[in-house]
Amino acid sequence: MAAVKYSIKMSRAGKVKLLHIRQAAPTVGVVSLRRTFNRVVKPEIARLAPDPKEEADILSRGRAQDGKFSGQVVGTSAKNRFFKVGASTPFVFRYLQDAIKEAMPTSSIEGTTKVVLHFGDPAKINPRIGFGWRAQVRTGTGKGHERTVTRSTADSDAWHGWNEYMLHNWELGGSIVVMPRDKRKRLHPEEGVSTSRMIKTIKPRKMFSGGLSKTMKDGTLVTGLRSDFRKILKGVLKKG
Amino acid sequence: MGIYLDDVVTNTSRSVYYFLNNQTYSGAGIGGRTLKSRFNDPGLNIVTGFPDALEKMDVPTIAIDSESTSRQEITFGSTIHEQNFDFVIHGFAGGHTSDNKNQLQRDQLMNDIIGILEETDKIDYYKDGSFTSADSDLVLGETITGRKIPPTSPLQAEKYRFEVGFTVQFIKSDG
Repeated sequence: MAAVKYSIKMSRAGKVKLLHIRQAAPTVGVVSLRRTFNRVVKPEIARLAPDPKEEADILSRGRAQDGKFSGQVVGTSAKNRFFKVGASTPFVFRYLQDAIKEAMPTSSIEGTTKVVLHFGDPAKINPRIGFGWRAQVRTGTGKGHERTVTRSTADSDAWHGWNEYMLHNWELGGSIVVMPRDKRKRLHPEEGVSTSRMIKTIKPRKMFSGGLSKTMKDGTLVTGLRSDFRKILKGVLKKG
Repeated sequence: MGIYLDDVVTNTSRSVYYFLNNQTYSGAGIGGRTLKSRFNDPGLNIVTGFPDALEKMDVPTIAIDSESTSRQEITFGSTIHEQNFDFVIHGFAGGHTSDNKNQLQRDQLMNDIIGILEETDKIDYYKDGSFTSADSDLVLGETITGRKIPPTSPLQAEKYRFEVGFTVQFIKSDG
C-alpha cells in the first residue's frame, strides 16, 4: 500500500497567527518563567530558610573559645538581644525568610532559544539580612560600670568580614568567627558569660538547591510553567 | 508487616555510611583499596551529619548528610514502598603542612568519592547494625555532582572544602 500523504493549506489568518506565536514565544518564555518561579519555587525556597526565631537563635549562639565557659555553646537571642530594626541607631534589616520572599528574579534570553533566570544574588540579599544586638560595654572596673549599647552589622566600624558570606553560610554551611571590635574587651553573649572569641557553625539549609529540586521532582515546576506559558501567550495573541 | 519511615531513614543513612567505609575501588594505579586505606596519612574520618563545631573537627573528614525527599506506597496485591533520599557528602580536606598537598588531597578525595559512586549501581541496605546480611538494595541515581566550596572563615576545616551530591532510592515490596 502506498503511503498516504496529508497536506493542509494554512489560511492567511493562520499564517499570521503562527508568525505571532513565533515572535512572542521568547518574551512569553521570559515572563512565564519569572511568574512560575515566583509562584512555585520561591515559596519553597523560603520554606526551607530558618524562621525568624530560628535565625535569631542560630546567629546568637556559638562556642566560647576561652573563659569559664570555654568550649561550651553560649549566647541567647532572648530579652531582645537580637533584633532587625534599630531604634536609636536607625537600620532596617529583614529576616532571611522575608528577604527571600521579597527578592525578585531576573530573566533574560540567551541566543535565540534559551531563557535564563537568576535568583538569590548574594550581593543583593546579604546587605538586607544584617541584624543588631545589644552589647554590654564596661566603662570601668567593678559592678555598676557596665552599660548596654546597640550594635549592628550596619555600623560604620562593624567587622564586615563574614557579612558577605551570610547567604553562603545558610545555603552551604560554614562558620563565623566573632571577636569584639576592641580586642582588649570581651564578648558578652549572655548574662554572666564572657569570652574573647566565639565561633558559630551554621549548618547547611540547602534552600535554593532544595527548593528547585523539590519542585522539579514533584512536577509542580513543569506544570506551573506550562500553564503560565499558555495563559500569557493567549493574552499576548489576544492583544496582537 | 509494616515498613516504618524512621527505620528506613536510619537504615539508609547507616547503610551508606557502611558502604563508604568499606567499598573497595580501583583506578589510577590504586588496586582494591577503600577510601580509608587510600587516605590514611593523615587518616580519613567518616562521620554522619554536618559537624556541630567546625573549629573542633579533625581533617580530613567526610560528613554524610541526607534528607528523605519523597515517599509513596503503591498497593496492587502487595504493597510497594518507595522512598527517595538526597545525600550530600561534605568533604573537609587538609592535615598536610603544604597548601599544594592539601589541595591535591581535596581533589583526589572528591574524585575518588565520585568515582566510587559512578561505578556502583546499588548499595546494600542493612536493617541492623551488625551488617551481616543485606535486607534489600538502595538504587543510586544517575546524577552525581561535585564541587569545591570556598571558605567563609579562617578555620582550618573550611580551607579545603568540597561536596558531593547524589540520590538513592529505597524500594521494597511488602507481602
